[in-house]
Parts: sequence; structure tokens; C-alpha cells
Amino acid sequence: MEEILLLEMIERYLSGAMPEKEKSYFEDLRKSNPEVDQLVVEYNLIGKEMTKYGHTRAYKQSLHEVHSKLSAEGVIGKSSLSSKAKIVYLWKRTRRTTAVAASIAAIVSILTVVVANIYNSRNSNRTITQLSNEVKSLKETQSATNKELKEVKGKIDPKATFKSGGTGFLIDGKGYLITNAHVLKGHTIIATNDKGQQFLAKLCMKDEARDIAVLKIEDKDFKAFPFLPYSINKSVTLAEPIYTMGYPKDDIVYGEGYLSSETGYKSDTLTYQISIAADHGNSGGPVLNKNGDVIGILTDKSEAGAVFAVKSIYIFKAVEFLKKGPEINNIRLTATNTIKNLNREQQVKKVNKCVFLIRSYE
Amino acid sequence: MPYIGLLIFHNRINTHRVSNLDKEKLLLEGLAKNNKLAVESIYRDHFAMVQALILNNSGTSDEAKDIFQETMIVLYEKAVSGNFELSCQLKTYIFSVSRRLWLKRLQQVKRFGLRDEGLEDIISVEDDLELHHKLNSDFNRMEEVLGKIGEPCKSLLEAYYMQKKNMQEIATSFGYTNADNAKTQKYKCLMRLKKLFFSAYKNL
Repeated sequence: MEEILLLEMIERYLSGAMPEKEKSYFEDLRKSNPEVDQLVVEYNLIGKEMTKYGHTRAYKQSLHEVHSKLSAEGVIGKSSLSSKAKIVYLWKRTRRTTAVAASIAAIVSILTVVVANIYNSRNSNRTITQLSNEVKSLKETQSATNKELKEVKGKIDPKATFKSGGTGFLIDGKGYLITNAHVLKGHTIIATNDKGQQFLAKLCMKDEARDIAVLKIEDKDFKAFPFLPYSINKSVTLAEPIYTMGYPKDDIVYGEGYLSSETGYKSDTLTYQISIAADHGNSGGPVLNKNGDVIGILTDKSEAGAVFAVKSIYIFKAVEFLKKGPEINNIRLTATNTIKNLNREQQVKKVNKCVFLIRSYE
Repeated sequence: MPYIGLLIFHNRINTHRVSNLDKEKLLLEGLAKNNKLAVESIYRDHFAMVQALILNNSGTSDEAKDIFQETMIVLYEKAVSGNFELSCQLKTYIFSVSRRLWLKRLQQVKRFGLRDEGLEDIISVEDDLELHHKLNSDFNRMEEVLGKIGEPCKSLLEAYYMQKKNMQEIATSFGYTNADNAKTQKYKCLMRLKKLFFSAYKNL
């Protein structure tokens, strides 16, 4: 109660509503009592902070109102790029990435040559039998490579250049794959399964804003899956354990972690934040919970190392969108989970078959 | 109606035959008072430039809106601090601040750096952004503390300190029997706010 009385005085004092006589009495009190003095300083600061906060908030409100008004009038807003300008815009957006990807590819190939040379020279002074073995195995790999090349050759233009790549996974056993939009910079798309078989795929839809894309494998060599091992689940729990599979290199890589936040970068509601080891190439890979349900699509990484995954609800939305279109009517999302009661190794063995390396060429 | 108001605002500027610099000074004075016409005028003249900057550098239109509005807040803070004189054109200032803010954002998400168009002048805005950073954390702290004290304290304090209502109005709208009771309640709320506010300070 005492502080309330004092507060009332402080308020009148600070607002200048105090009569002269009382004011000089109060100032004496301030001087003689450091605690009162401290309270005056504190309440003065709080009052100022609150007024400042109120003004800034009102100003932010005005900014929003002006923005909505002007976009309603069409003065500002979504810039309407013509289709040609859009291509230029997309090219501008991606050309750095492309340049970096190309230089990385160049560096990697040079390194490969250097390493191979070192390795060869080191081995050249071994015994003759070993050497012949090596020649034999070299021959074997060569024929394997030739075979592989032939397989690709039939499917893509030999002049095509690699544009971008990542991971994708089946959402319908008939060959519908989901991946990230940013994985697909080129127009010719090749999906490779865990055994190295390559299939041509066609783009069904691409949503840059949500960074999601649906592909369909259209290749006579592809055998449809009667059912998929996992289902797609919209609900998540903070801190639940998760795992992912992807192709940061040519072979599939498994990684595990946990769900760190139900929102993504700067509270973006499109994504979850997860803690998991991921690298370039993991983009587009499935994020699964302990039951083997897909809860998201691994998407990107912030500088601080936080990894983000597009929420699985947008897989449903993408499929709904496709169903509304004229071309696709047979797509059906995988609905039953057959690996729920298996241990992790067995789950992964099954999920592996449904995760593809995605590469796009131009 | 607001559009007519805007015309009047422009006319006032034109009939006085003021230089561009004075016009910009007037606009900043308007911003400091949260004058919507001033906000709208700057929005109309400069949003497109910032949007182009963001879109050309791997951003989206939503991000353009964010960056532009943050720039407008920096401008507001500058105006409120009593500094209506820019060392350069308003356009240059806005461009420089937006560019700096976007660069920071890009670094955070590890996209690729800005391509310099080389067309626009750029000035150094580090000092203003440092102030902005401080004021922004003040704002966030107050928001957090007000969120913590709960109702009716939050609304009561906002009515008194931000909407500047008097105690009689507050008593009526909150349903207190008289202004004195509302006042006592307000002081109790203020004491709680003070406690939370200074503990939030210490936790920084």
C-alpha cells in the first residue's frame, strides 16, 4: 500500500502536476532517501519506454494499413513480371547458384584426377600380380561404366549438362515422387534408385514459394510399387526423434536427429526446424518419425547450421492441387504404414527403395 | 478522402515552392508524428525501387515488403530522434538502408551475396542501424513484458500510457465502480510491470 501512495506522488511529480510547495518537499525527500530517488528514475524510464513502444506500434500499424491500401489500389504489390521477364528473373535468381555448382563440379573433377594420379603412382611399384589384378578390375569397372553410360545415353540428350540435383521420394507407388522445387533447375530429370537404376521423370507441378515439386517417373523400365512402406503424417511433437535419407553423394546416406521447432527460419510457418546432419544433396529427402511416417521434406540449412523441412501438410496440398488439374487423376497418396513395428534398420531397408537420387539436366 | 488529403499535402509542398530537400524534411517531420499521408507518400515513391532490389537478388515480394517496412522504421526512428536532415537524398538513404538490411538477411540464410548494379549511390548507414538494433530490442522487450503481465493489466496500462485515456474513461470502459479503484489497480499493474521489466533487463 505504501508503494502505491508513493507511486501516486511520483506520477504527479513526473507529469509536472505537483504544486510548487509539495514539489520542493518531494525533491528534498528524493535527496535524502536514495530508494525513493531510485523509484523515480525507474518509473520515469518505464513511462518513457511504454510511450515509445506505443508510438512505434501505432507507426507499424500505419505501415501495414498503407501497404494494404496501396496494394488494393494496385500501386504496389506483387510485381507482375511478364513471362519473358520471369525467365530472366529466375535466371538471375539462380545463376549464382549455377555458377557455384559448376565451379564446384570443376574443382571436384580436377581433384578426382589428382587423387587418382597419386593413387595410381603409389600402386605402380607393387607386384605384377597385383597390377594385373588391377588391370582386370579396371576393365571390369570400365565395362560397368560403359553399360551405365549406355543406359543414360538412351534417356537423355548426350549434349545435356548437369544443372542441379538432390533427393526425392515416392508418395504414390505408381511412380509419383516428391522433392524440392530448387532441386529442379534443368528440364530433363533423371531419378536414380538405391540400386543405381536410372529412370526418366517428368515434372507434374512445381511450387517455388513452398519449395515443393511433384514428379512422375515415366519410364518403361520402372516397376510400380503395389504399396509404399510409409504413410504421410501431419502431426508432430517437439523433440521427437526423426531420421532422413538422401543423396549428398552417389550412394544413399542415413542421418538421424530430432524435431527442434514447429516453425522454421524466423518462425516461418511453412517449415519445421530440425536438428540433423544434412548436406547439399539432402534437399528433397523424406523426414520420418520413429514410426516411419513421413512428417516433412528436408529443404535447407541456415548459416548457424539449423536445418529446415517443409511440413508434410504441403504434400497433401500439392496432391489436392494436382487432382484439380486436367491431366492427373490417378494419384493417390500412400496411406498405410507397414513398417511401424519394425526396428530402425529394417525400416530403413524398406524406405531405401523409395528414395531416389534426383538430377536435372539442361 | 485520404487521397484528397494526400493531394493537399503535396499541394502545400508545391505552392510553397520548397526545394526537394525541404520537401523531404517535411516528410520526415510527418513520419515522426505518424502522419499517414507522409507514410503513404514515401511508400508510393520508393517501394518499387526496394522491391526491384530484393527481387533481383533472390528475394520474394513478401521479403521486399518486410525489408521496406523495416527501412521505414529506421527512417521513423531517425525522425523521432529529431534528425530531419539527411546527408543525402531520401531515395539514396532508403536504398542504402534496404540494401544493408537485405545483405544481413542473406548472410543469415546463406543464400548468395548481392550483385551490385552500380547504378545507385550508396552511403554508410551503420550508425543508424546500430540505433535501430537497440530500439528494436527495446520494443521487443516491452512487447514481451506486456505479454507476460496478463489481462486486465495489459489493456489497462495500454489505455493509460498509449491511448492516453484518463482514469474516468478507463474506469467506465473496464467496469470499475470509480476512478480511484481503477487508479489503484493501475498502480498495482505498474508495479508488476516494473518488476518484470527490470528482470528482463538483467536477463539480456
